[in-house]
Amino acid sequence: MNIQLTRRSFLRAAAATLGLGALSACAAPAGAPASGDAGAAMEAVEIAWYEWGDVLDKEIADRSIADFQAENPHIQVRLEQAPGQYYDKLQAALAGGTAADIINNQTWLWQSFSAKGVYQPLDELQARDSYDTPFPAAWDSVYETQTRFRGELYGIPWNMNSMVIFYSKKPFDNMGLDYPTDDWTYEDFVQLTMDLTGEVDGQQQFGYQTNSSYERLACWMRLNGDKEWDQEIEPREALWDTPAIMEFIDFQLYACINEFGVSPTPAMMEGGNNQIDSGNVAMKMEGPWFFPKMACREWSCTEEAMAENYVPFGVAQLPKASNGTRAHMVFGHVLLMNSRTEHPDETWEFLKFAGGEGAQKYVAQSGRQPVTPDFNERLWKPSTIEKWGLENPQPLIDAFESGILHLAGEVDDRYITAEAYGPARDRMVAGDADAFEVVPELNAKIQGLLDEYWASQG
Amino acid sequence: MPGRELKPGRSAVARRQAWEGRIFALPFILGFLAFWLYPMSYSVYLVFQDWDLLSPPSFVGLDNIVELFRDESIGISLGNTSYYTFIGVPLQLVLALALALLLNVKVRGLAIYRTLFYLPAMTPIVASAIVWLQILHPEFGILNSFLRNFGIEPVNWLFDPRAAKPAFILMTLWGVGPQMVIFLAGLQGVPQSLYEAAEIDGASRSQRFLFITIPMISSITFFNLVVGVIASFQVFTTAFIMTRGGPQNATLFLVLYLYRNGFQYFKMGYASAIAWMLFVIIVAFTVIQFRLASRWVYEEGAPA
Repeated sequence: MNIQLTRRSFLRAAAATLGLGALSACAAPAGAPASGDAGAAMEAVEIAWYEWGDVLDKEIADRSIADFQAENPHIQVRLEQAPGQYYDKLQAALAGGTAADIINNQTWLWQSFSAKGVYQPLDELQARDSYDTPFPAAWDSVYETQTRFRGELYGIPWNMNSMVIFYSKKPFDNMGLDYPTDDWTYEDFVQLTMDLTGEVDGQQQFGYQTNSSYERLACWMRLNGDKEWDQEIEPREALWDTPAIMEFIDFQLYACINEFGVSPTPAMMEGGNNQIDSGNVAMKMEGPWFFPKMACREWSCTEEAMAENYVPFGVAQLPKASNGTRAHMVFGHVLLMNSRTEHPDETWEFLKFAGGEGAQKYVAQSGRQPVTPDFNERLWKPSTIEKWGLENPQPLIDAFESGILHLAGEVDDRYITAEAYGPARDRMVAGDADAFEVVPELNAKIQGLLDEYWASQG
Repeated sequence: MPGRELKPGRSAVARRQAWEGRIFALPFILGFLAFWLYPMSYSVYLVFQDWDLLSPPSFVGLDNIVELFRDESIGISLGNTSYYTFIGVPLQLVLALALALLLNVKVRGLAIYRTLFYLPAMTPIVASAIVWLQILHPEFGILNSFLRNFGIEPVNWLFDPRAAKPAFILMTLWGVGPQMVIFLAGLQGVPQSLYEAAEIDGASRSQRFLFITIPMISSITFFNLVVGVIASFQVFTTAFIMTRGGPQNATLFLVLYLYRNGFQYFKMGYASAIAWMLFVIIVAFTVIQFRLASRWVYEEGAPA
């Protein structure tokens, strides 16, 4: 068929198409209730949930949403996942007024958004419903800094994890050494890193895999009770150049790589080589999200992959300092309510569900730790033993007793790392200078950033 | 207008055609206004504001501009970007010209060679960054394997601040295909008669290259230089993916620092100031190049 289309008729058709397109854009979205639907007992509402883009996150979210919707058929939850540049995309969405109703943030990064009024304080809703499920008294000290800011409650805990020493059993067996136990000391740890390093069957084995990011270094810095800030929430003073802190930094960032050679360099680890899950590194500090890596070298495991790549492993608390104290990073994710949500009640309903057993059982099955000691004992421990082959997960629960958060506020670790810590760390890791040379200069730089921030606050 | 009265019938057609023209041009005009002119104008406004994207902007006068002169990281990022540009672009031009000369001879499979050299330019920049991460891998990368054949110790390309910028420059050389094609077009436009006359006069091959080829393609070289400098000053994606500005800020380029300020530190006003500083720098270099062009660029038909 040969259709003759004049220019005029083409233009008319194009204009009509554009007009219809514009009209259809104004139409109610599918699933939205028709106005004046007197028959419906409760008006159907759709809320959106902004989540991380991992496969595992999707599994947990999908199951939680399905159960929530079964209980609350009038509320539809739409999952929005960001596979990368999570906070940049969130910021753009917030600026554009298109951010989701429920927003997942790490427990130390949401405070800078809250300071700008992005999130809704939840105290009134919490008091109204007497909702305290995910706020166990035993973990008050951990939650105080990670769910509240400037005196108000913002975050509903979604998962809360501790970081402990993961050890791969084979390197210990190779050297005929005992696995670490919770009563070990810092001196034991340092000695073990050296005893475990050496050549085995022609292949280099390392005692320890250091991690140089600040949020993983803070627990080492605070091992003996010292702190690198006057307070970790909105600090005013940097105390990184305290002698004991510099000593701990020096081992983690400089000596273990450049002086003792007990940890592979970042270049050696590039591309997944010489890491604990590759089998030739004995110890690394990690959290429960790392189970799949030990089990199959991926972030999400199939049974076949586990059968092929499983690395037998165990966990122990971080060693005690000479004065008997120790510290563990304990952090995770909170769900927050967008202060511009048009559906605060429905959003609150979902937040309550997320902190309860209905959703927490799925968190527990993923390997990540749920948000109460009770959920950990009943839901997480049995599934962890069975699913990941970890004989004794208890250290991950016990670590909460000495749990710390490194830093939160408008001056957050992203800013400190990019502007000061990152370049200084690179110098130490590269072996250009040790901590005693670098840290005093770093401390001054960080103090400058704090001073600049507080000056801007008037 | 006297003598230009249109007949009524033609006038209607002309009016209709004018409207049709406007309608067809409308998508571009709307796009230009919405996505180009408005954001650019707004970013000028933002230079004088403190704006965190989340709360309303507040007027700060010249604070953001003053900060440009106080900020240590601006100096670092400007230094890195200049190094990358003023070493990288000349090398790109030399390599692109060399490849164009090689491909300007009549050999079998010439089209295949030309395609092969152009292919990297077709690769998405993210994909090429991932590929280069593998190539530059200190232990298993093919570049270090290649260097080992000559007894050269492995280089920690992206982990050593002394090697990181050269590594990025090396990467840009992989993508000289478009410049090469432009040079090739220029070479094929050089009149054969000039070479024949020079040959009769006894000019050697190198003399012909230096005194005929180079001047005759100088306008092409100029074009590649201007475009290369502009693109180089805007380097971002590879550093964002491969090094995030490290090690020790060695690859903290100006646009990466701009991005950090805008989207990580909530300082959109300061990011706008950096953007306009970059604009001024690029315009300044472009103007300088145009001013100097009259000294070395040969244009056919231009007054001697």
